[in-house]
Amino acid sequence: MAEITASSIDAVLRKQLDAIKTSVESREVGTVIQVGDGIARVDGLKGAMAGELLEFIGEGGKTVYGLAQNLEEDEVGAVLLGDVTSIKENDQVRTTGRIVEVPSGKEFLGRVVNPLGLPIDGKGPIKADGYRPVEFRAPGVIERQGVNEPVQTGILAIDSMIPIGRGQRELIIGDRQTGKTAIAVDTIINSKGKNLICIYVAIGQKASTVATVVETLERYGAMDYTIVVSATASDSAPLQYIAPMAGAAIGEFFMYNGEDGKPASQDNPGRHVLCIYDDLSKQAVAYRQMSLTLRRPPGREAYPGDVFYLHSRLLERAVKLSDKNGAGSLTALPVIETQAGDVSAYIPTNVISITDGQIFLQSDLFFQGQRPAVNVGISVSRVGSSAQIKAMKQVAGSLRLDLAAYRELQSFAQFGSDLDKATQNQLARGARMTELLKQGLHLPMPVEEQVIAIFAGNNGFLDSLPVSAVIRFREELLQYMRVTRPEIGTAILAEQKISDETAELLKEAIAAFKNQFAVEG
Amino acid sequence: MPTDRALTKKESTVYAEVLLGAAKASNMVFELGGQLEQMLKTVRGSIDLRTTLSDHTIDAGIRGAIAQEVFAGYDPALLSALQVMVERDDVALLPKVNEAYADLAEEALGAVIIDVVTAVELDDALRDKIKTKYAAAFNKDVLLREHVDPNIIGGIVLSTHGRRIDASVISQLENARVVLSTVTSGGER
Repeated sequence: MAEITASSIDAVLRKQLDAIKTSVESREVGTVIQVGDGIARVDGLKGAMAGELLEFIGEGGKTVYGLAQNLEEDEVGAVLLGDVTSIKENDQVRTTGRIVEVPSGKEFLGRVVNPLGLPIDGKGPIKADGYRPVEFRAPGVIERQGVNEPVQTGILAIDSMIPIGRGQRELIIGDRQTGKTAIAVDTIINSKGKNLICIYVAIGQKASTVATVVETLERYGAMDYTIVVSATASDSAPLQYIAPMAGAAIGEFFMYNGEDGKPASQDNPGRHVLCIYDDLSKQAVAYRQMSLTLRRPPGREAYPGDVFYLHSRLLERAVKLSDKNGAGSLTALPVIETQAGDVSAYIPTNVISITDGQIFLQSDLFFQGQRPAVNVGISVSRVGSSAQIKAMKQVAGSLRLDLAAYRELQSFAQFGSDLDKATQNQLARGARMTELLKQGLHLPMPVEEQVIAIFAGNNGFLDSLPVSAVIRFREELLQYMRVTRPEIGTAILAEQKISDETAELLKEAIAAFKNQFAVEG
Repeated sequence: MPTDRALTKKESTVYAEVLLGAAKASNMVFELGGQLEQMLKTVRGSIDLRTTLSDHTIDAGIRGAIAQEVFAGYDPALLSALQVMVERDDVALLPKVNEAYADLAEEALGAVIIDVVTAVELDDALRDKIKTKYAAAFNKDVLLREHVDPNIIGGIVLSTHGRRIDASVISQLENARVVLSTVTSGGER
């Protein structure tokens, strides 16, 4: 801890006193005519802008901020972001001429903040390197480039068949308790040392759930490169509404600025950011509440007409910037919770249509023991394969189709009729490959090990094993490769592909391992 | 109260024009504006008064009598207008009437009305100074509606047409309080 000296106190005081502005300026002033349900109707403020930050002067000079939402002929409807109870009728409201901004910077890493960027983890104040507007126009076509680098989730089923690229928007969708958050958290844990800043935005969740996520991330040393933005169920609807946008804004600071804090450019590369919005269904609910109390007309499922635009403008901020703009990226992993697997509800269909693919999680798979419970048949990634390393493409290229064929055959095989040898083989291979994709919680797998595991499956090394031994075989094989043949994994990583030579070495090593593998354990 | 915008605008203009006519006759155009604004503030500030004045279960005569009693001492023309508003269920039009009246009054007086709040009474020198400065700014005569509020401690607050210049000591102190309590230099973790 730094020593506190008289001169340091003096310097701090001077700095604070310098921040006091004594100049007087003319400002637009209105009066609160009605307040309740977290919204205020304000008379006057004819010059207010949509989305402008308003200053409410409450009892005893207490300032509460609000967002101008409805600009009507002679009044403004605003949502309140702070202590609603201190505002009453006839209170003064001022325009500020700016929109909501959140602080961001290196010191935010490892911290838990609210959607206004204020720390809520009790670890003291955070010094911001800069501020970013919560609402920001997404970059245009010229400022972007195609997605070309992978985000490794460390999850075999995803990285092999539904790969995610840096700058992509991939939806994680499923019923409650199907492991949506687990995929997000695993991705953060697996991003260690991969030059990826992670932002986990918790919207409308229980505070205890958020605490568990933070605790897990801390346990795996993942908080060093992670920022948690939390608007729990007890926070007001406006805070839950701006939370994902605040998370995106905090991430954008890293993407648009280089390591030195200066704007990113060709010579000053921007950083890579991963933003997880957990979950957008709750944000939509908060927005619906706000809109209804603001007396906006309800539409389908009582959501306001612009709920699509709310999500599309948020997700459009996910980007892979061009080299000229620093080549930074912001990957978005929105989460949507469905009710009883109904993906045709309003919000799920909206977000499915906005994103570049989706990972479907199903509760029946989850309870059958297929975890992660990804339904690979209907999960897709529309841009991800261009971000996959070549080695993965080599081994996983036909995996999706093989598994699809397996599922089709499996439904026929249920009739119990006699099957020819080829079909039986295909069924056996499919069962083993499905088993191979099972993975424990918070056990991400490096990409080279994923390649080795699928290679073993593709080349028939699993076919003679009982299905129940597949996972143990995979774990022991990978352990064997790490200890006795580390050069193969290194070669895959270095060459990013499986050369003929590596393939031979791999076959030989797996065969050698299989010879000593005891099926009975 | 009608919900049609054009109709409400027309109705509030009628009220404002009638009030202006009466005010002109008694040469109270400027003063009546102040009273109307005060009346609006009182109605807005009290939910009981607001609901009572527009409560259909209470006889319009009784509601009118309540209004007369609450605003006793106000200009008779204003009280009569309020009585009609109560009877016709138009109390919600009060803000629009006030706005329309302010516009009409400024036009009739050929001047801009500025509300001035000070901690002590204005002296003539300061009054002239404000008038000269703003007459030049608006290119019109200026009329000051003066209010004394010791709570602002010192300084001055000027407001007109929804814009405000707040140079009061209380606001400056409040500003300093906010800055000192929120600006940090990073601090210790």
